[in-house]
Amino acid sequence: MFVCHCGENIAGKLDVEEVAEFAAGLPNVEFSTDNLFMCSKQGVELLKEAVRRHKLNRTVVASCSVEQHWPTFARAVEEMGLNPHMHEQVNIREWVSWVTNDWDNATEKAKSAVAAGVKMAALKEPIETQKLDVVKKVMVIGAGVAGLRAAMDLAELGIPVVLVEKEPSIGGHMTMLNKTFPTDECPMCTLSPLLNGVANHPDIEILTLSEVSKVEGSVGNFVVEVTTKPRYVHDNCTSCGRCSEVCPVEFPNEWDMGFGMRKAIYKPYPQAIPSTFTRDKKHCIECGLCEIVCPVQAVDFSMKKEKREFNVGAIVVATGYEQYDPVEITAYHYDHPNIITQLELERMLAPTTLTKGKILRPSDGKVPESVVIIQCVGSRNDQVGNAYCTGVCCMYALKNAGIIKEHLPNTDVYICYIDIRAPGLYYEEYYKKAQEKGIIFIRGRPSNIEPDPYEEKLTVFVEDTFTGEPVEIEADMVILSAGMIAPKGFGKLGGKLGLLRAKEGFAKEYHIKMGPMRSSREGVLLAGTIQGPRDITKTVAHAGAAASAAAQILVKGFLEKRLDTAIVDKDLCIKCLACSTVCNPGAIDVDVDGYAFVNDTACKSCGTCAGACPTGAIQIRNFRDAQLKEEVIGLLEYNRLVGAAQ
Amino acid sequence: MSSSSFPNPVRVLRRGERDEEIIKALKNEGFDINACMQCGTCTASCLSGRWTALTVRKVMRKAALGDSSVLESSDIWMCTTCYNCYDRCPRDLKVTDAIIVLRNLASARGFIHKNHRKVVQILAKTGHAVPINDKIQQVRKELGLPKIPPTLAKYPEERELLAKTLFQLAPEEGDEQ
Ligand SMILES: Cc1cc2nc3c(=O)[nH]c(=O)nc-3n(C[C@H](O)[C@H](O)[C@H](O)COP(=O)(O)OP(=O)(O)OC[C@H]3O[C@@H](n4cnc5c(N)ncnc54)[C@H](O)[C@@H]3O)c2cc1C
Ligand code: SF4
Ligand code: SF4
Repeated sequence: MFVCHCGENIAGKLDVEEVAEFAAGLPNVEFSTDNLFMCSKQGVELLKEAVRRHKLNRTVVASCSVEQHWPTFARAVEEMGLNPHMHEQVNIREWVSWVTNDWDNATEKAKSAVAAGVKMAALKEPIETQKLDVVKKVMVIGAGVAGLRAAMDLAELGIPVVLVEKEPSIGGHMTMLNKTFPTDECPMCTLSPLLNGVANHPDIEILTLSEVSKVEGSVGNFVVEVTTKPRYVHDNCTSCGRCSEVCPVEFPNEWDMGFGMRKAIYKPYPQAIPSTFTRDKKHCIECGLCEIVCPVQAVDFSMKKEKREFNVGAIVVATGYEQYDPVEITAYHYDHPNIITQLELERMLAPTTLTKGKILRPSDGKVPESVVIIQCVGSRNDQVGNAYCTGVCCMYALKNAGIIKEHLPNTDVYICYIDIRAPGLYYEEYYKKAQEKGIIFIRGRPSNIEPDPYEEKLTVFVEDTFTGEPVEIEADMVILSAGMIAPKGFGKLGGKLGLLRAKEGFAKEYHIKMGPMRSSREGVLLAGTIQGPRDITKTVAHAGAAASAAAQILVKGFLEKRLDTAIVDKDLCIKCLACSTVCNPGAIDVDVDGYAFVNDTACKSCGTCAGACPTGAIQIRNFRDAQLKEEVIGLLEYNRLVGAAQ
Repeated sequence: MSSSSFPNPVRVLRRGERDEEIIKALKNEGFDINACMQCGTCTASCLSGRWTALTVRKVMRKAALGDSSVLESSDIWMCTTCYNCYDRCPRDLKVTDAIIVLRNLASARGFIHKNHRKVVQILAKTGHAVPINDKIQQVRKELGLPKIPPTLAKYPEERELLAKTLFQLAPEEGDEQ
């Protein structure tokens, strides 16, 4: 028995020595002590030495969670020749010391937990591990910069990748940007080597217009069904564009956020990959002109929706973000034509759009003399349910304010902000540069924008909190720095993948510090902004980490699975198969004689089956009824003992 | 105690110097004023603040710091309770309610303008802020309404009871008279 101080984490809240002394008096306990840090090298050596000297056949460490340090001590006892499952972990930190300030009660609670743990330890059974084959292939869902980076990193390690993208082309939001902070580079220039690299990689299969429709299996061996919408244009399309020229239907291009037009048969933008055109069935009037003019007969209205199944060992989710829709903040009148978002401005600045890259007032094409940028629209706002700071908008506002100043040196550009967040190398410098460009910074969050009913003019109401004066700014255009939110449809995909989500809607990471690229489910990794808003620098780093975590599972070629899974006692099984109906991962089959039979690979050791079984025939190894009963007895006996003494 | 080389340094209020009653009163109202991020949305929303010295953000700041001067100044009385700031505060703070809490506290300490004091006295006496004088009674009659409306004015016992309790103001104090 080893009771850990965990520095002050445990010893600061309860009497560790008293717990160790108490344990020494329990039946079956040969040796008991306390130690400052059991997980330190000295702590582990202490445990091994005690096993050797006292010929111990079970160990109990009362410290932190099973998740955190069971493996550390299990490895130590294994090195001493015991089965690793002969080690029992009792959690007196998360369950006791971290959740109380009551010294006496904490000490008592720790003692009762130790009493229960010692009882349990006596009944623990040895458990073997099994090597499971893994499928050396990864599915990456979402082909923004995160998905592309992860796909490339994996393919370069020799792991084949299936890249699934719901849009007709790959690249995500980065392809919509005009410049990228903090270097003001052209994003298409920096991204296109990766885009082309992915498109031409022999180990990457790209599925556009595709979404995941079903997920089965578990880490190392998932079966994923992907549904692909018809493109109505075959791959032999040479991208000559004749179809688009003759198509009579024209309307705002989604990819240009309405600042450009497209036809019903189209390519979202000139460098789009794949370069094959797409027919948009919803807007098509089926005049058939495109079919007639296509020189290679690529247009085919009869193409059908397709479903395909893929067997993969790991899944990387990189489905990105969406821009917050400011229409909800009615005081900002986003429905007004001269009030636009930053993403819309990024598109307006592109040479291929309606303004040919010029900054013009949308309502009448006038060159604006005054532009107001408003920060934290839909971020840092409890009213709309987004308490978090997006952490990117300050930087892109500095970027775009500078670009407006460059295009229109005589235009007044204001940034109304609560705090400018520009942390890290090169970012504060970028802020200073923006200040030097003559942008007017007003520290205050505008309360409302009032459109003039007769003129195109807008008035922004804000307090300059540095002078303490409420001020009014007349503006020709207002640009809203709308925050980044989780993509709206993510709930459905998350459900299929069995992922936990944070209350803000993003995919919940396994651990904010130690596993930001892992999800709540083993074998499913997170890359980029689907885990939370971040800029491209951090997205790329995060995606690299996700690729490496996915590869970790697959490069060895096998997984080691602990067989503390469910097991059926045929003598008790009455073949009712209640277990099989409740088993979520579908791990229970029927053997030739009709008895329930557990597939160890799929079993998650959740114990639901054990609860459903009317006769107690199905049990989880090391969590058998008999073992749990003994643990509970340990707890109750201790409490009765104390109760009697008082 | 730190020493300062300035003759009359303005020091931040420290433990013991803060007006805990302000902080407690706001807390009782279900209000964490420390969550205010001083963004100024309230000031910019404030119609009264365009014409008067009221800067809602500063009121919130002083209250959060437990600075009792907020109760003595006339600013809190300049609020028209239009609830614009309440409606727009991105931290979802009940800004207008906070002002009302501060007014209650100020009144309890006798910081109340003499005209406001008069209104309360009239209320205590007649049950109405605007008394039902002969002219009003005449108009009511012409409209076919009873002479005295079914308000507090009609229930002299209750009015007297309230005059002894709710409408009791602390004696005059401060520079507000
Ligand atoms: C206005 C604005 C300006 C910005 N400027 C900069 C800048 O200058 N510098 C910088 O570093 N960062 C900037 N950013 C941030 C940058 O856009 C992001 O960091 C980056 O694009 C995130 O990449 P991603 O791959 O995580 O997400 P995304 O680019 O959103 O990619 C996600 C992809 O997944 C696809 N997808 C979504 N759901 C599904 C599904 N269910 N199935 C299949 N596919 C799906 C999407 O279609 C998309 O292609 C800016 C952001 C905004 C809003
Ligand atoms: S990054 Fe700046 S603008 Fe965006 S939410 Fe954070 S503070 Fe507001
Ligand atoms: S609007 Fe809310 S958060 Fe902003 S200064 Fe006023 S009270 Fe504080």
